[in-house]
Amino acid sequence: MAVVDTAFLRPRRRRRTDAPVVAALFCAVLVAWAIAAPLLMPFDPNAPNFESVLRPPFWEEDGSRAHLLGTDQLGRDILSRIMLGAQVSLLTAFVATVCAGTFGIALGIVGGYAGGLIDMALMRLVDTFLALPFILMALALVAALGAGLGNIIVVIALTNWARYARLVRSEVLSVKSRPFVDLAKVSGLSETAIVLRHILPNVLNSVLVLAVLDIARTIILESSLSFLGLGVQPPDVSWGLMLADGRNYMLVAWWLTALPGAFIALAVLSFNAVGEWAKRHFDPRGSVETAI
Amino acid sequence: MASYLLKRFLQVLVTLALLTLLIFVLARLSGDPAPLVMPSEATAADYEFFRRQYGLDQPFHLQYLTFLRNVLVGDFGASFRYNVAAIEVVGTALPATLQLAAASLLTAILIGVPLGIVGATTKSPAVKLAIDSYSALGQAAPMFWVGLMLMMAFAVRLPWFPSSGRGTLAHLVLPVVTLAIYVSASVVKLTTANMQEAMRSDFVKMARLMGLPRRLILLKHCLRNASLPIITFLGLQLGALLSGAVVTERVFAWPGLGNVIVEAILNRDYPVIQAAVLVSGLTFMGINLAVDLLYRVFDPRVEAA
Amino acid sequence: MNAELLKIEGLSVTFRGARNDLYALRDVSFSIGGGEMVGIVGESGCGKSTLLAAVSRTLPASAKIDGRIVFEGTDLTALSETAMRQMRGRKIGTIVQNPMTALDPLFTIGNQIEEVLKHRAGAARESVGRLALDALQSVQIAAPKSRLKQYPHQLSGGMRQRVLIAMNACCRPKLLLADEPTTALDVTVQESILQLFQAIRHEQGASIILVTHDLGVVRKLCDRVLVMYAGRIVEQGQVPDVFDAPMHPYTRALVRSIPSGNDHPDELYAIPGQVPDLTRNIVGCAFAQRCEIATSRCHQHTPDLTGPDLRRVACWEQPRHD
Repeated sequence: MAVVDTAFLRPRRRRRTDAPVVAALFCAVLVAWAIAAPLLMPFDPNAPNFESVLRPPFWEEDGSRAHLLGTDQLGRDILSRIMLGAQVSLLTAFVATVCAGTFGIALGIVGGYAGGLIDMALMRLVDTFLALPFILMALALVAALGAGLGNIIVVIALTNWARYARLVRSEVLSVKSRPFVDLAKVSGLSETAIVLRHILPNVLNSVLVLAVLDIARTIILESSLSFLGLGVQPPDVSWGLMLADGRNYMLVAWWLTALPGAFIALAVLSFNAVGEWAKRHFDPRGSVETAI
Repeated sequence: MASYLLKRFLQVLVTLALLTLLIFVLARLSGDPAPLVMPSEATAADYEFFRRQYGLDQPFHLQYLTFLRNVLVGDFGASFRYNVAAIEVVGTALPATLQLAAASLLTAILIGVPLGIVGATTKSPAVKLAIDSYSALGQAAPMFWVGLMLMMAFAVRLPWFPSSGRGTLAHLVLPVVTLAIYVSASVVKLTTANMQEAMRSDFVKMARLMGLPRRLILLKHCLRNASLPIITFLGLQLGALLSGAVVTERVFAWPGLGNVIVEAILNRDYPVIQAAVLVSGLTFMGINLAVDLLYRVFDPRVEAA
Repeated sequence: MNAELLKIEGLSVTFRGARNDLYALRDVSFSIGGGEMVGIVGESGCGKSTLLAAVSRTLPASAKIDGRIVFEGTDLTALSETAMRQMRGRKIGTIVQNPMTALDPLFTIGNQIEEVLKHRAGAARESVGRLALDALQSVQIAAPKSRLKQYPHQLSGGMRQRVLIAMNACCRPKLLLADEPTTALDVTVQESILQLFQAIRHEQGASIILVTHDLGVVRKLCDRVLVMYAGRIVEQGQVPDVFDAPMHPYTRALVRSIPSGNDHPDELYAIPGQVPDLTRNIVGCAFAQRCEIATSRCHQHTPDLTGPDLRRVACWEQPRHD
């Protein structure tokens, strides 16, 4: 039925912006903690205080305003540990994403621009990496390289680079065929110049969107590995590690496990919300696959 | 169909070969395992014996070839930790993981699909918000946290279910619910989106014009069309499901493959690590292939040639 | 017989929008008797498809409907959705413009025909198979038995349209709404599809509203024709009368623009100007801007559709003898 297409006519309603304000605010808080946790923390996150052991958060009966989110079995302030944990998680996510992104972009550009055998080889490599379940790769890499913050960053970068490579390669392919590139070639620009001046900027948009969405994924990956004891090691603090620590006290101190986990969930939600918004506005062609 | 199968099979082989190389190289990279395994009183002669027994004194490529040959017959050597063949450790654990995964998937579909249908058809904004929230939270909350919270609530505070181990049906409940929450969250989101898209399609408009009953249109035409992409999606989700299974098994001490791998890493039990990673990889790719084939069977538009 | 099957009185359809409304139909009135084939012609956007959607009550939620649509004595605009659903398929059938996407790609042809037979034509379970076969044969599909087992993507556009016609026909509707049924098909196939409509009309006594922009088809097949412009009917009458002696300037221009063998090969007549913007409430005759004989009255007052039942025109400058 060829009825008039009324898609453009919306029912009369006040137009609402689709920007995820609350999510963005939370992300901003986390980023602030990531940058300046040592300055903002009310207590030293590793300093034990045996007078104030296992205090519940301030809204509970035994809680106090001094320790807003309570203390753990050694009397360490939970809020401070969460702030430091934010630094670790976000730093890991950021650095790992930058590494994965750089490596992936470089390979993606090489493959996409060069074409032919190089491209084919690259695609085989990318497909293989993407076919391997990332947890297995992460575990195998941890088994070889050992645990610890630095190694975790390498592990995460190695499991993530392939997605950037594939995205960048397909973007390069689509940009390569556009007229303005031919124009650049004809006017005598060198290959590198073409890549840097024309191709890269067009590709960066979708890469940035993927990166934001990736932050959520890497937070989960890092905290999972840390929870398993294969990630961040003490005295470094990680939300995942806090959950593993607090596990033994579940019966008496629910906040030790509930709060760090809640922060993980909220961080993932917020970064995903911001990432989805960015995808809607900066990647209308939909080159970036939805983050899982 | 045959050529497609062949192509996929070759892909799996290539990926597996790379995986074996990867774990082999990585294992050797991390240095000499002897000091970790041998008791402290061991002499130099004991170390030599150990190295020779495990072929660690051979040149690299020979070691790899030996390794490959053994892998093909399923011989990964004996576990450093337990005195059984590594492949046996893995073999005992695999069914447990498969059971967990299958039960979780089934539960997730049973929860997710109906919720997704409701999400697509409800007119109440409150209901829509609730379903959307479930979908968002379920995917964002880390599975180990969800598992711990469930354990705290239903095994520790309220002793309804056992908090660890495997044995009875009750043991299965909490781990399955943990995994199912995550998977069903994305099933809900996908089902809702696909149902909405199906409801807008031309053949549904035609069915409406013919005056067919609403429920029939919804549950026969919309659902069938909506569920195809879900099959592919679940295939894509396998990676996340696997990682979720690993942490869930650790949380609930479920004797599955994930638990085995983590234990092996903590114990530097290389034969078991290698066996476990390879078997997991193989299983993973096998399931992926099965999902692909399933899709091709269900969609008549895909050429069967 | 020939009592009024469908009587439309003062039908207006307005699409509510965020910023403005779209006046798709304005004060449309006409009626159809049993066994009649009525053509509706007009440019894109004149409201012909909206009219059909209004009759089958499948307009989007943003549409506001005024007026009455009386079908076999019942006002369709006042019916509940459940009651209206009973009408669709069984009493009022629809043929859509694009047959390529109108069938569910995941079910066989046979399955979909049997579905309609079971739920709309009241067929018994044992006989659906045979009836489905009969249905395909009635629309002249070759090798119907194997076609029943095939999926839509294995059929051509013309065949899919036949299947859709068969699905409608087996319910024996009293009224068939055909919205540009052959526009999306090959010219070679159009003729035979249109013959099917003739067959349904003669064998089942159904009335057919044929919406098309192809005047030649209307001339050949229809009894009466309605000419629409900017949401209104500007002329209606028996096909020979309207085509041989068009009264409304728009109709005249339309008839003139039908290419015939006698035309000067370089000249094809096109009506100058454009269709007016339907989001504005048009004052006066909508065609006045493009009309050769418009007067100031035409620009200020909207002419009503006047004249005897079988021959109506909405134009101030009627009757005019050239």
